[in-house]
Amino acid sequence: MIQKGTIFDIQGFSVHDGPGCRTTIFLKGCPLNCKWCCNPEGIAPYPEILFYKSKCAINDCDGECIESCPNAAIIGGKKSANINTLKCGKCNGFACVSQCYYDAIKISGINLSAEELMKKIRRDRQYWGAQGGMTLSGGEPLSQIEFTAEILKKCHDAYIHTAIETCGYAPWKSYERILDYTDWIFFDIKHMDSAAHEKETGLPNDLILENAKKIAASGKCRLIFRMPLISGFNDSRDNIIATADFISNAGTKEVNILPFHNLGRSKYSLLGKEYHYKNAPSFKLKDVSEIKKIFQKRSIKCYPGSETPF
Amino acid sequence: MTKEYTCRDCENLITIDVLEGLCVIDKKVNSIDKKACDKFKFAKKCKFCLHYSSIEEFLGKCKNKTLIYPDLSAKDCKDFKLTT
Amino acid sequence: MPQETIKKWKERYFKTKSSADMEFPYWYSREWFENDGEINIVRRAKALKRAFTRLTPSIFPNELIVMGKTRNMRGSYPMPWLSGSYFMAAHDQLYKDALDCGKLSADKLTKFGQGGGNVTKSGNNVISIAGKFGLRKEELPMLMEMVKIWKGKSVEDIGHKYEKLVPQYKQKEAIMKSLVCMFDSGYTIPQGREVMNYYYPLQYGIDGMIDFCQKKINEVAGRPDMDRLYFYKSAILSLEGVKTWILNYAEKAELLSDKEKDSERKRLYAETAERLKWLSSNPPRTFHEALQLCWTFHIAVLNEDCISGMSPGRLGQVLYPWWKKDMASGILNKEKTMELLECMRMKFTELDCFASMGVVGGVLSGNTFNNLSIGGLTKDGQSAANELEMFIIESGMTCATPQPTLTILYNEKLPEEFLLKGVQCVKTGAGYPAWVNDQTAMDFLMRNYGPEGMTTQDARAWAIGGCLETSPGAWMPLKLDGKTHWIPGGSAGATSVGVHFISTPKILELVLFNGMDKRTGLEVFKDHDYKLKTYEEVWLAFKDYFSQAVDVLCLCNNVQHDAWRKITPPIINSALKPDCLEKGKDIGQKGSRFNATFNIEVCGGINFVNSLASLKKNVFEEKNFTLEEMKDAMIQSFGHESKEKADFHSKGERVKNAEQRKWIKIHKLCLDAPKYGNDDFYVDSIFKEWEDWFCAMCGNFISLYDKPMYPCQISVSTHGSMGAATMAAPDGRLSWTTFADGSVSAYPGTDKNGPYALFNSATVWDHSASQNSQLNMKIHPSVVKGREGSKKLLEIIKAYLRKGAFHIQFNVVDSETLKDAQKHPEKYRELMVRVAGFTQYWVELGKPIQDEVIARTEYCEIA
Repeated sequence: MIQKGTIFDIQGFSVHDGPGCRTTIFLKGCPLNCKWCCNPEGIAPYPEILFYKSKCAINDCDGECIESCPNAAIIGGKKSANINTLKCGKCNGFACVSQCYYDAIKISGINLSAEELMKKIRRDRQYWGAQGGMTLSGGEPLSQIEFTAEILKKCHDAYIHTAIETCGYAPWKSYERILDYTDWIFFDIKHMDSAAHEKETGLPNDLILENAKKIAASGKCRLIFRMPLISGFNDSRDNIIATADFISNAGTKEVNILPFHNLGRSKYSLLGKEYHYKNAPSFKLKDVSEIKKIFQKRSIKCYPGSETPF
Repeated sequence: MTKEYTCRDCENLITIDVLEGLCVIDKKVNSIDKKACDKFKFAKKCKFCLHYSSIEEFLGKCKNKTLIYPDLSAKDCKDFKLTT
Repeated sequence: MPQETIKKWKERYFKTKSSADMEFPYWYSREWFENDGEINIVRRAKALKRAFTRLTPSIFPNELIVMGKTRNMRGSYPMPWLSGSYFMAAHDQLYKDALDCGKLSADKLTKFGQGGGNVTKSGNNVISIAGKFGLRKEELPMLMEMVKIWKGKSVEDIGHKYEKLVPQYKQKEAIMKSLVCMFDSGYTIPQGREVMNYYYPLQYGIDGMIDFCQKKINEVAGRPDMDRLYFYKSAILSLEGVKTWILNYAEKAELLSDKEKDSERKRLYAETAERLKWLSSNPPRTFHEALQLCWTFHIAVLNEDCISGMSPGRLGQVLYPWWKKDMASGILNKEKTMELLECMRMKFTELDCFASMGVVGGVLSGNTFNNLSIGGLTKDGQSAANELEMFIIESGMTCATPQPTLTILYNEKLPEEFLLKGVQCVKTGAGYPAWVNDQTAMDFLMRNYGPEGMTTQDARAWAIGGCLETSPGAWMPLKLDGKTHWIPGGSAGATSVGVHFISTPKILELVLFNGMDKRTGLEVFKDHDYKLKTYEEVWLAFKDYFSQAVDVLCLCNNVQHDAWRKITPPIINSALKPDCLEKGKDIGQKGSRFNATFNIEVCGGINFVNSLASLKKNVFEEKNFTLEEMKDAMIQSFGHESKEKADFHSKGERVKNAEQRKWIKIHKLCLDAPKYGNDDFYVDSIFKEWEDWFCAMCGNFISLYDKPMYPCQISVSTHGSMGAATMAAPDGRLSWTTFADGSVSAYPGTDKNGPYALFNSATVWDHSASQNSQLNMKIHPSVVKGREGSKKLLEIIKAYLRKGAFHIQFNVVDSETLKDAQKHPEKYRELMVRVAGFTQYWVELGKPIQDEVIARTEYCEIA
């Protein structure tokens, strides 16, 4: 059986996801459900509808989308149609997409075989330059371990530099499987306290921290921790210190701190989901400086935002 | 007398564009239609020459022979004779 | 130069109006008509000489490089000997404006502020010509007199008289009226899109050149090929005119020095006077003198004709020997170098071009396209980049102005530091330097000029003419202080004469409507015999119509250009262009080293290709609708209000009419058909087929100089003006809207698979088969921020060029621009912004997101 992966985006000229100019591939499916997630279309493992309400002109067309849906998930409305996301996504054809002449319905997520994806990677390789490579992100790439492992191995065999961006929540077996083919790992650390972690992401952090330690101990990849800074969630001095201590004890030396932003929020409305962080404040410059110092005290290189040495 | 003239008729003007010029004397940028000051000096223009005769408002003849226009510069004309 | 000084100059520049005056045209015409009966080229030389000697000099305070085309800072003038029809047609309006404009008081000055330096309306004793140039009302009657005496004798009139003898002339008229073709290239801007050669004045000085011509006269007088005698005589006369012109400026500088009380300024004026006096006869001794002489000859050439795109070429390499010498001896240091280069930028930016009416009307938009090329290779194939060029880039950053624009001739041998300096400059958002492929250009040059004897070594001397025209060069042996330096300079006359801009989408439209232009009601082509039952038949009909258009336009423009070379032969430019002085022939008589310069330009290629893909898929393969239904939809603009002006495609901007619902399905099918720029073989193979055919067929058409023509693919502003005359099309584009820009840029919004997929689509064909290709990319500063960002921007440039592509240039836009982009999203369709872990097209971000991106602090930028 040909292994297929479900992907929601392929971005060329990615410049902050590893060394050089890269192509970043975003895989669907994530075990976590972080309330601030900026790629919410990556959480569900299956293709989903994106509904552009402002483009919908339901009263100005023949409403063929409504008839085309086998699950009756689309209903007419005063100004625009409405899509019941609970009923939607269970069909295979997404017939509604081609019926909408106003381009108000799009699908996030397509299925590609490993070879089809490799074709695109090989095409992009022409344009990376010497330093570049391929990064798997998402969602959580290891949630499609068969596909991810195959891609990483194929790239590795082709002397393509590989990186993954992972939330850390996957069986250790999965990481073990791919470590030999992964050059860099961007590993998320969201909160050191498991209860707090579970409250906002849906899962505890034990497995995540265990995996992190093991990856660091293996010495096999360049391990860079990633910490999204969420105001009021994980930016307390205590948590920062705990995170810095953890990183230091694991024996690694790098962290990329990502001040919160809510620029992904339009995607929530497209998915018909609620965005809990839509009014959350952005991070202030001086707060980031304070945080940076805590890491630096422990000889950990701290890169805020896109100020990375790669 | 100088009250009849404007900066664009003055020797001390360096043209910047069709609206403004730089005065060599006061170093300021003025409208070229600004009324002449007491430092006014006649620019060598055909309309100020003895040999100029008018055909219509903005066309004339030099020595009754050659078609010219009043604002034409006569700087290098050896026959130029200031009338006023 | 201190930033304060540059700022003050810019403020002055922005206030200064585009100004025309009658000095040059009056004296040129007077001398011409006073020499009736003289040998034509000598007659012209006398006219040029008299005009130059009569130009009133203006010198402005603190100028280190002096002299301008006219006494106005942004000065130019009409050339009734070239074209006068516009003035005849506008006669009454101009006179009315002259009467009225005196009544407006000086307080109304601010009205002119709209339109920047353009005089958009008459007032304050100034008449607006073509919505751009200001002319004093007092000079209008003389202008009309000049137009009258040249009526029937101008290049335009004579060219028009004889082009009518071309058998298919009536078709040419229809082609022009329907806007299948944009310009009469033969006479509107007959010189330019070429590269200057400053060698002769730099090596010999004006007196040296005059002596040379005098010696040549002794050799050729009385001998066969007698035209040489008149050419040398003309060269001497013109050079004498330039000499006197320089001395008049020297005299002015002396006068200003005498009157000046401030000691520093006094000294500056006095030095200027000395410098000009020296240069009126002799070759330069210093960098400053060399730069001044180059500038003087640059504007001398610009004054002899209607010229757009006369590029300074590789000025940094031309001036390098003097610069190196002066740096070693202490005459120059970094500060003084920068000062002079910044001055040079200001002078080039002040240039204005009074183009004839086929071209004005906003098309040139005042741009004079002075392209300074840097990089490339030396005669021996080494990297030609030098330290002076590093300063040239630097001055492009400290004094960011439209001119001269910079182009890096990218070669693998160039030093990384030099390339990264170029990247630094790109990141300032200036829009330059553009990056072109040295090797691809040389391959093209060898293909095209090889038959004339061009060698690989010769090819290395090339540079960009105009905005993006690959132009041949030559290596000239500059002897300075006992050493020989091989410096590059232009070796051919104007490219982009030939066939100016055929609109391929328009031809396709005419194919579908059997040769009838619905917009004007004209029959442009005779009905083709194809039933259009197959995709192949559409192609065949297109090729037939396209070839017909090229054929008649080539012939008519050849006639026009012949009228030009007979009536107004280029003399000063010829005296500079190798090998005219050696041969004794002007450029129009093929005195240049290379003469296969005529090209065929197209626009709208991508729209055309997308339309073919849509027809193939929708009409012929899937049979989603018939060709008749397609034509109906085109006429109805897919149910949108058609506006008779060029407007950017944006569905949101177009008003749907009551019929729109009827067309919505067919419109979607057209929009969803495969689009170029996505690495999609279906449409990219059509693109390749078009490019391969077009590039090959150009050679079947013969120029005035009896040479085969070649393809040129850039858009300038034609994608707007020609889009405005073209109906909606199978690619889903709406009526009268703008085409894709450049030549390999995707139609805005249709490249959905990122830049690498676009690169793949763009490079399916052989770019060396064409004079150029053009790709414009917009990037948000955050994508290329910092040191790493610079390295990555260079990587993407190299990657694209290494695949064989010819050209790429960037707009790196900042939040100020983003604010504007919010108000006018239609202008920013291709802008990419790096957002939260994803890169997104700006226009697809909702307003709240856009607000956030604008307001973000640097720490809120996302990895």
